[in-house]
Amino acid sequence: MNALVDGASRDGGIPEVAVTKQGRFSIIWIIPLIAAGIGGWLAYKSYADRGVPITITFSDGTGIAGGKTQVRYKGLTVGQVDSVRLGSNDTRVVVHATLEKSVGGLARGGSQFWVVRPRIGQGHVSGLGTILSGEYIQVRPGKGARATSFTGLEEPPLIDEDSRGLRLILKTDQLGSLQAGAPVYYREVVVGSVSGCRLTDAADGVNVYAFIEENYAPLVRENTRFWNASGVDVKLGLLSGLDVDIESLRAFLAGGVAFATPDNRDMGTQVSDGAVFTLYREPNYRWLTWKPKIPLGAGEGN
Amino acid sequence: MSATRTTAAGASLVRCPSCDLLCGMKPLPPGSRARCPRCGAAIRPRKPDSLARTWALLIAAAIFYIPANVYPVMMIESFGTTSADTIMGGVKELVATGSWPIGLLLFFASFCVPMLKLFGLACLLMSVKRRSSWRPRQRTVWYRLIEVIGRWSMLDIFTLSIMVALLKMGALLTVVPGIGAGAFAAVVVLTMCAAISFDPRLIWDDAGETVR
Repeated sequence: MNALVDGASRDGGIPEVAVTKQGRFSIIWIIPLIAAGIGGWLAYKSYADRGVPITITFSDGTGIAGGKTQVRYKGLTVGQVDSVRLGSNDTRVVVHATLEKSVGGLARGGSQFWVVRPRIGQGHVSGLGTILSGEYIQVRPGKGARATSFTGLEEPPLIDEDSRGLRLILKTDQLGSLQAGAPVYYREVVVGSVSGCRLTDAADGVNVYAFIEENYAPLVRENTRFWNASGVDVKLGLLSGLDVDIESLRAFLAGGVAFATPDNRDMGTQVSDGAVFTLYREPNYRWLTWKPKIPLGAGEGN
Repeated sequence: MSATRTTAAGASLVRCPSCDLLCGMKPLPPGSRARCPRCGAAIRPRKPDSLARTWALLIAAAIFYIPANVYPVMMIESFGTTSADTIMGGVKELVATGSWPIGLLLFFASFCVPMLKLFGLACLLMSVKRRSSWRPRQRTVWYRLIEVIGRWSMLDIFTLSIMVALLKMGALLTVVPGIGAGAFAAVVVLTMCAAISFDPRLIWDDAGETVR
């Protein structure tokens, strides 16, 4: 043993190691450098892509869950709810959500938020997809400055400003059987729908909000006449016999609005959004004979 | 055996890792390396650059430990709705829904174990660097523990990979691994590599030749 320990006098049984040149570079430090690179890139990315936090209050938080409920705009996911809790006075539900950075501009003064749930009414079904996917929050951007705090709408807004088309206000004394979602007819073709009905501010009449699809918008002129095509019109005459007039089954259920435009020289100019018309109880027989020639909008065929 | 213990290094001996020849070690001039006189394999008395390599891998693992906990580990897509869960989010959810034993297990296996590994290896490295002679046997036990439990953290990744492979039902239910899963796997693999590249003999080199 002692002979072995003594390096100077080794026995022939144990040879010395051979000595060669060695390159001196430790490649191992590339690993933490790569890790730092990936980590730094992730950190930068999450900093650069950090969302826009917003707060929305609702009176009802049914179906809204933190980390699950999405915020959508035009059918695309633009954000997600982070947390839901009761407000300070326990009367409102406070929803904290984060919008993706690229769409942070959706959060502005006047932006509207509402919860899309399945809604089934007469002649009007919406939000069916949410039965399976769960509720989501729909946003409609406003035009004001950037904002972070919003009061959510309890119902979807009456007038769908997202879809392109013509929005009209029809004034009438009595609503009849008209409802939101009721069709608007031109020559018994559906060209739009009723977005909603509301009492006027003074409660002296009813405002019916009608939406005409974009490609049918040229049909509405200054001298266009609107009438209520709701329900059934039964006339019993001695000579004519029984005359039952129903615009359609849908009109029978949910009511409807029809309109006619005078012949070309009397029709007047095309109207713009927010034009006000009178909604007559029933059509004048002369209106039904009008046959103006109006080229439809470029949107035809969509 | 004699009462005084002799180490190979103390006896200026090395063993060829390739052909098992016992050789006498001699001081190496800078820029040179020892080779086996019989088979020519490189011979090193200790794992080469053990401290530097272990530090490097450990630092890389520590860097990945942050995204592993900040980013979601898995995303569940169901009917167009995506819910993403981080490790701590999953723990919180499990505890909140009453399955706290599983939540505790997840917390221990996925959060504590990697952190203890990082911390333990860093302590071992520092003790060797400072040529500490404090309880070498204890520290060796730590090292063995770190090396043994390291692989069990991979359990999460296996579970996740099985879920990702099995739960593919199109729009109904799909599980997608998140960035956190990749980072977590990197933490586990890097800490395992760090544990392997650490040479426990370094603990004893400064512990004095005769112990106990």
